[in-house]
Amino acid sequence: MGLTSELVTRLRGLFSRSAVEHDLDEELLSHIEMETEHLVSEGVPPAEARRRALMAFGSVPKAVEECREERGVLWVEDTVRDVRQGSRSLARAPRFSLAVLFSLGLGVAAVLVVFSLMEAVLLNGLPYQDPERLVLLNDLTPEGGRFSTSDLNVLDYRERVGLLDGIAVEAYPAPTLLLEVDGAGRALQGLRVSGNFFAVFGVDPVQGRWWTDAETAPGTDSKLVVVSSALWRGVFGAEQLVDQTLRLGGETWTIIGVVPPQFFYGPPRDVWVPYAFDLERNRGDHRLSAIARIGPFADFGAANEEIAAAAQLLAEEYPEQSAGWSAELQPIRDVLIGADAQSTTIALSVAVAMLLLLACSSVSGLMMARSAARERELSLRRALGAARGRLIRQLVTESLLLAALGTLLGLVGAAALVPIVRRFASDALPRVGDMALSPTVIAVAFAISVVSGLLFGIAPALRATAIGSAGSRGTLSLNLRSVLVMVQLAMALMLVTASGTLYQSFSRMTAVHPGFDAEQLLAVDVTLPPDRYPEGSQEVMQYYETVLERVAAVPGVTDVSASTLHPFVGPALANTVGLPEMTDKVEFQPVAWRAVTSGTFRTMGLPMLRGRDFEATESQLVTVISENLATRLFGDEDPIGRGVRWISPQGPVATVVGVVSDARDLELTSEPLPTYYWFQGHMRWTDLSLLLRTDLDPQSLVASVRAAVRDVDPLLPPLEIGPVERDLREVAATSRMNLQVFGTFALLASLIALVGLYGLVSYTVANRRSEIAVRLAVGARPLDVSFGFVRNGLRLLAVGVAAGLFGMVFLTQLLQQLLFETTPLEPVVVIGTVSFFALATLAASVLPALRVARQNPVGVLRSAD
Amino acid sequence: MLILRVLRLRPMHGWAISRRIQQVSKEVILVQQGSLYPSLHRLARKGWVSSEWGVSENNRRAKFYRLTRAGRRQLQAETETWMRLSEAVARVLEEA
Repeated sequence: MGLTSELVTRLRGLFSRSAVEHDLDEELLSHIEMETEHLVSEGVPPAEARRRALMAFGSVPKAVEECREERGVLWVEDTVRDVRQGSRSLARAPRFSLAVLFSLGLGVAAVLVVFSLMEAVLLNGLPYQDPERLVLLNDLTPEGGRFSTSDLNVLDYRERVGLLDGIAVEAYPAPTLLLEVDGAGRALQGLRVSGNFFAVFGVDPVQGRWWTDAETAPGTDSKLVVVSSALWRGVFGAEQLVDQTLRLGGETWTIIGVVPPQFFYGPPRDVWVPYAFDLERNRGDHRLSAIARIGPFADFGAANEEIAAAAQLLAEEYPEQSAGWSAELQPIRDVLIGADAQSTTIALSVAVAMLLLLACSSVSGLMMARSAARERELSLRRALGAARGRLIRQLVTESLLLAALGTLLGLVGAAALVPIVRRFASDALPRVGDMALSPTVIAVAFAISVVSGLLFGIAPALRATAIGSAGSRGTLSLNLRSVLVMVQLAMALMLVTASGTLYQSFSRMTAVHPGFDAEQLLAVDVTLPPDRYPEGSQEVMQYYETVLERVAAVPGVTDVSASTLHPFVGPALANTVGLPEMTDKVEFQPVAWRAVTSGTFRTMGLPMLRGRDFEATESQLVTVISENLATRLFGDEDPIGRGVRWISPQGPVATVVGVVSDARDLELTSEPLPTYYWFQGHMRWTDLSLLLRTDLDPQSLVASVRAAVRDVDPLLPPLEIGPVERDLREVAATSRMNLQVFGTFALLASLIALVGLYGLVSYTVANRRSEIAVRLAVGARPLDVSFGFVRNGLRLLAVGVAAGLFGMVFLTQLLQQLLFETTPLEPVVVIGTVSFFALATLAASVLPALRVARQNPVGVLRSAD
Repeated sequence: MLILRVLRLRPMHGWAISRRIQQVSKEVILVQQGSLYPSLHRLARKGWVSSEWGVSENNRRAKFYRLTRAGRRQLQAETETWMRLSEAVARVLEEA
């Protein structure tokens, strides 16, 4: 019974606090009155009786307090009271509270969002078995550039390299296959892979199986397809997989397996078709990208050495095709996530950590200022008998309350931001779609809340409640606060400089002219099924002739042509060319190549520098080359009429009929590649992009162009159709996002730092009001007085700037990878930032100083203590 | 223990308890009356006394404390302990 009754009392004491309190008051009151009556009955005058009764009773509040303590609800009740009192005292200082909540909320929200981002992009494991053992196997050109590999090379590597557990390949080009369902076509993104592809990744099918060795042996052509979970659900309603077939590219395929939904390797794919190694293909034909798994007893370094040795051996055995070539391994994470994404995310986390630190130090500074301002109140309370522990607890409760509210604000902010970031960052970072506020992240938020609340609560509370602190007030806290403000200034400076640098990089990048006119240009990707349009056939040529005519007739289209390249999208075709007299493959130059129809340069707006464009038909093998390729091959000599040999010393020679200007047609940030243009009439490439120039808004033509293309062959929907300008913008998306994020951070950081500085100066000024008043009274000029504070502020700034620049040296390394033609410490940016901060510091210190200097000294002195 | 003993005969309110203790101890134990209440509340929390509002002899509302069964047991136990202790003390004093 003891326990339950005690519980009841406690609960009752807790919930009906006022009722119990009232009860107690009444009881004690009745005691005193009874004693008074008793004394009166003994003949004492009533007033005297009451006095004696009270004396006999002793201190009423003490009795009340002790009774409460005996009831045992003190701790909870105190906390409730602390929280109430805390909220009241925070509400009494709204500017202080808002400043703290603002700083903290921002800091927490930023940390949460960036942490969620990091979790999605970097921390969540890749969905394979032991992903750290997966590597990309690159051949290296004689110049040391990473290159894809060839059939015979892979087969030799498989045989000769023992430290690799398996080597799988993906064959170029990745096919787009036309799925026919109920007479309508749908384009599927496919990948041609070796039979062991999924086994090397260590992934099991959710249904069915992968290919067997026999099904993908050299020379076979099995029509066995593996499909994605999404396609399986979408097209087949995820039925059981028994001899299901697909009409793909005009052929019937049997589905043998379904890939798990979380499988991730480059852009999403719908189907995987088998690639059988081609033993007849030239060893120098590098068109496979190879993925390998490092064996259980090897490490990356050893495997890398072995593959390099094997490649060098091959180069000696087959000097004709491989002289000078080598090979190397590359962690697959670097390829799939991308070094760019990694450095972006890491730079982001550094920025956000700085922002949080900034927010915390700012809050800490504000708390200190506030507790200093409350010193008199606290001393008074101590003098009246409040225990030090109680006061500390109350102050800490207050700061915990602030921290909790700030964190809550941060959580709400982050919850609102995550979907926005998910949408905007998906262009620039892989796997952002998985981003969410996970329980881990929320737990982190609470940890931040508690730790920060304790951190900036305890120190000021300890000092403020220390006995005798009133005498030494100000000095220590001022120094600590100065340091905090300097740190804040330094960090804000770093962030502002970083974002300024990024801005410069970005504006330089967007100012880069791609070399052709990407505006008012529409690109339409066409995919032809091989059953009706065999590679290199007359049907292919016929189709493009018809479709170009049809599209040219669409109202608004002023010019039309076709190219293998969809600008800024792909494919990135590359090979080597040389001079006819070269006998050694090593001398051949790596080039980008595109096959184009007559008029493509005109449609793209790519200036013809010398010679002529391709004619509608060309009887001889001719080529147009880019200016930089002309310089590389012929130096200053006139290239027109000269011969260029394709691929190798055995390759065909084409006569140069024209030179066009260099183009950044795939990436903006790298130098334009030397480019070799094939005449499509000779190359007869199957899948082209139609390029349409218009004087209208390109987007407005999409529907009519789509209809026109469908008209020529209803089974061929245009794969992708869109303004080239949009693709161009997407190429710059990463740097735009970096810029926006850093810009936002920098803005917030400067705000927080300046609020901190303003707070410090105001506080100093307030503390020295009497002194200032005396100085003004004895004749000091207001300007001189305020100048003292300004000088103080500037001194803080100077130290902050120095520290910030020093810190920039470290941030620099992180930024380097994100920049384009911009050095991290650009003088313009640094000077601009520093002057901005100098002005802001001036403002932050002049304002409070002036306010005091303008006061009437007599009034100040009278009101002063 | 004194409070429990005082309450043994009948329920009493606080003021009466304090008067009673003063009387019984022949004014030897003179405590501040206010300190009685925390003790009462402690006893209540331990479940040895229960309390209810009633009307005093002078028709005044007052809180009456009553010994519970657990309180009686406690008093018994404490009394025995106390008796043994004072016997022992007395013996020591006699024999020394």
